Amino acid sequence: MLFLKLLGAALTLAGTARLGRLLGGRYASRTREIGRWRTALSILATELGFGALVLTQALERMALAVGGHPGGVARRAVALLHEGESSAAAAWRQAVTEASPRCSLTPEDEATLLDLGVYLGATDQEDQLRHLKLAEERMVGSERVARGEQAQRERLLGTLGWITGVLIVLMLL
Amino acid sequence: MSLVSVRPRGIEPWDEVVSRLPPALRGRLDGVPAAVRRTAEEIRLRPRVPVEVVGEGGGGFVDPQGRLTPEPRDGELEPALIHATLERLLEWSVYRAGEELRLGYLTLEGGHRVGLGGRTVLRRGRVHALRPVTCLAIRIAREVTGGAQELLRSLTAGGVMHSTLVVSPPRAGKTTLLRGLARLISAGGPGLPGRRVVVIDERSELGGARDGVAQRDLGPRTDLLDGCPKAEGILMAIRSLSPDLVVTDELGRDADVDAIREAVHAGVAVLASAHARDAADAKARPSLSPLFDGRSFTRVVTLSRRRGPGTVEAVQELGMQACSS
Repeated sequence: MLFLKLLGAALTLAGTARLGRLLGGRYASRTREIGRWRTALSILATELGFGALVLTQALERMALAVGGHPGGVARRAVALLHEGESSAAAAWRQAVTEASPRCSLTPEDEATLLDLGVYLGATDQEDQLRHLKLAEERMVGSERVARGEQAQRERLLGTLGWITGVLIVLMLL
Repeated sequence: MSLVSVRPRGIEPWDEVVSRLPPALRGRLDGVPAAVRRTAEEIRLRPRVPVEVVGEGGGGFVDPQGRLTPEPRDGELEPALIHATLERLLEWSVYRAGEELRLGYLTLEGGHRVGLGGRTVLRRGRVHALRPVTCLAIRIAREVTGGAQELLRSLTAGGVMHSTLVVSPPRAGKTTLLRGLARLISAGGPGLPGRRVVVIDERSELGGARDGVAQRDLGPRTDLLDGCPKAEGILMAIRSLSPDLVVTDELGRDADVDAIREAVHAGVAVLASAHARDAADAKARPSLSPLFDGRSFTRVVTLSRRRGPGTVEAVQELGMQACSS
């Protein structure tokens, strides 16, 4: 009987601790995703500015280089452009919106990407670089906030997981 | 003498152009009769007016079912569709076409030129941009042979390559003739050894290049300077590509004239074109008159559309009587 109680207590503690880590992990994943987007925007600026590639090629290269959520959005936007009569802005908006339920970005981060899409490919080179730089700076700001939140909440949620587990065990014993 | 159209690289020029348009426009143009497609020279898009097809073999305004009508009826184009067409033609990359957009045209792969109309944005009294672009005149480029061969004999008479200016009003076949001559001179033939040709293709119309590689046949001994300003290109070619002949399109700036004189005095023949009704008109253009000194160009070919694009009206030896065809 004691053995079963101890086993139950251990499982409860492990479960709540894991839950705490999982909840905290969402913050880490957001930080990683924003970092990826920052790299993606920087690559895009290089390809459009110095490589002078057409937009679809630049997006494909960016997708290849960074992968993940930005890569998925870029590949989807290229597919939409090739298959229909979407404008670049419409294709980008659809790609970002479709991917949004599967990512950890906040509505503010998503707004940064959607704002960029309005100008993507549609203005001169100088303007393209300016908008990409602006989006990148907004992402840097988001990343800073996300890192702060990650540092704070990740530890907090981890500890909360353990404490919750201990409380449950104490109540049950 | 009239020039004859041939099919380039197995794909009809019409299809090459139409495949680049948005599906909504492709749907309408797919219904255009084959006879009209084969001879169509232009597809024109204007806001609140149906698509217009212009060509020797007939044309008209295209209704939503693809039927041609002499006057505009159904199927008015929304400005948004024209904008989407421009974006698509630019491969959603306006940033790559800054200078072309400022000058009011862009060139598609295959050498098809798109003229642009819209609101001009001025900066310090000069056209800085066209924004928004509201009208598109898509000119369908076609390969032409035949007439060029016949003309070649008079341009290489006496075994000498004569520097030649081809003049005509727009849409009379200047670019096509230059391309044909470049190809023939480059390839050579009986009694005419192949020559090194450099094509300075500022507007990418002669070679219809993609990533610097000509999509049109310019001949086996031809080097291409694609997207290069004429004046700079001519000097670059002389310095580094040792051409026998430099070919370039649409002269009109003072710098072009200076560069051509440099080339001619460096022993390089020049084959070029300019807008003018005939040689006399060309000579009256202040930017071209210095080239009529008898030393720069020694032949002037006048084209018209009298018997279709590329009709050679006259070949004039400068300082001598014109010999009409």
